Amino acid sequence: MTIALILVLLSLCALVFLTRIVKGRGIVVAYDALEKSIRPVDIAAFRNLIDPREEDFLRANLAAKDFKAIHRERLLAAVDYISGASQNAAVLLRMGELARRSPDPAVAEAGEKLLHNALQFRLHAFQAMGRIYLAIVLPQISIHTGQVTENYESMTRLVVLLGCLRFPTQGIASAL
Amino acid sequence: MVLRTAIWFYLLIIPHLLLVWVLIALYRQKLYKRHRVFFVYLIYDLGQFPFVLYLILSSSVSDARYSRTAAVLLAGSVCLRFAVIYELFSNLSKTYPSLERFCKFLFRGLTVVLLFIAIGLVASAWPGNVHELSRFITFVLDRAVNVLQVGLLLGLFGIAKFFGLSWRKHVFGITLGFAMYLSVQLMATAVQAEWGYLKVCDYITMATYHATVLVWLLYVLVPESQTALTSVPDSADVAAWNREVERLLQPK
Repeated sequence: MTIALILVLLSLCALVFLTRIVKGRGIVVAYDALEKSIRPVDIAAFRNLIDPREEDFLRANLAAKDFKAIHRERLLAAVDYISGASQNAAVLLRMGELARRSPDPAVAEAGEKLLHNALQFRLHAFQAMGRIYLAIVLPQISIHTGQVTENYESMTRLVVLLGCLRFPTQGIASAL
Repeated sequence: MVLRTAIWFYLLIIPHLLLVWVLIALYRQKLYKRHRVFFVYLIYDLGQFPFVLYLILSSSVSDARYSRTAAVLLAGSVCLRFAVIYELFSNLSKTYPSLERFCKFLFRGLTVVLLFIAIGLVASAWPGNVHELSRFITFVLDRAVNVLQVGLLLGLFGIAKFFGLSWRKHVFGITLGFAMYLSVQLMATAVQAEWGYLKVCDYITMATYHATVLVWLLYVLVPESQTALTSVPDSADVAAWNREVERLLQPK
């Protein structure tokens, strides 16, 4: 009886999920909306948060109880940074997707690379968040989120490249 | 009574006629090359239909013989459905080569987890006596298979949603159709495995199959829209990225 009810409920949830996917699929996101969904991410601050030397320093200079609390706060902040960057990657993924269909081979290639990097970034961000949550539960575990920052940097550079290829006269080039 | 019979025959025959249309559309648009297993599945489904119709209409066929034959045909259909799901995963991997390894890993991982759940469900409903055997074969095994297949399809939708991937129209349509049909099928088998055969479940699953075929037809017939990056981004849009890049390029 219980199994039947659980399965019926799960099936209904699946149908609701499918309906939402179908509804969401029809929405064409305007470029302006994509721009608004970009969240600023301070890479330097993120690096600092996950720096093992910083962690060692805090561990050595704080009481165990204080360290636990601060370590938890720092890791939660790191999660916030990663989720912000991951959201940006989703925006870039859509840009890459659109760019790779471009008739200009250089733009299409840059779009393909951007897409690849954005996908890699989201994959690594997902893994990193899992590790960070584990480290929150078990503070003695040291975390390694190495690829996340590198991915984010290379992805950001590709956006600049794509911008230069498509809109060479616009302000984006001035950043380089 | 007449109306009920008419509805029943409508739900039995019309989806299969529409299936012929899906098959022709797939062939004409050369989509069968991309969805070979799905194409074979449709042929199998159409091929077995006259046979099933004969079994239903013929008075010389006993209930037991009908059940046995239906179980064999269902087994073939189930195997082909697994192959179609694998093909859908492969299609996604081909469109996004960066995700190939992850998709394979997820497909295998999900299959193992769902297989354990399915085996658990089968074990929990193991028949105590021979009278329950037919219910066990018809509904309990089918329910376990549906759990596995619905789980895999939702996993596929989950990956696409998490990564924000865009689907090719026909791939989306095929996946959506299967997910819809199998979810309802799971509900029906879950109810019948617990409370025995219910005629209303037949109507519901047949109606869902009809809707599924219509979904396939719609997504195969409607042409793919080609969108490219045409709009020029707003300067504020670019400025936000510039700020980030400048920060990155500053010497540490």
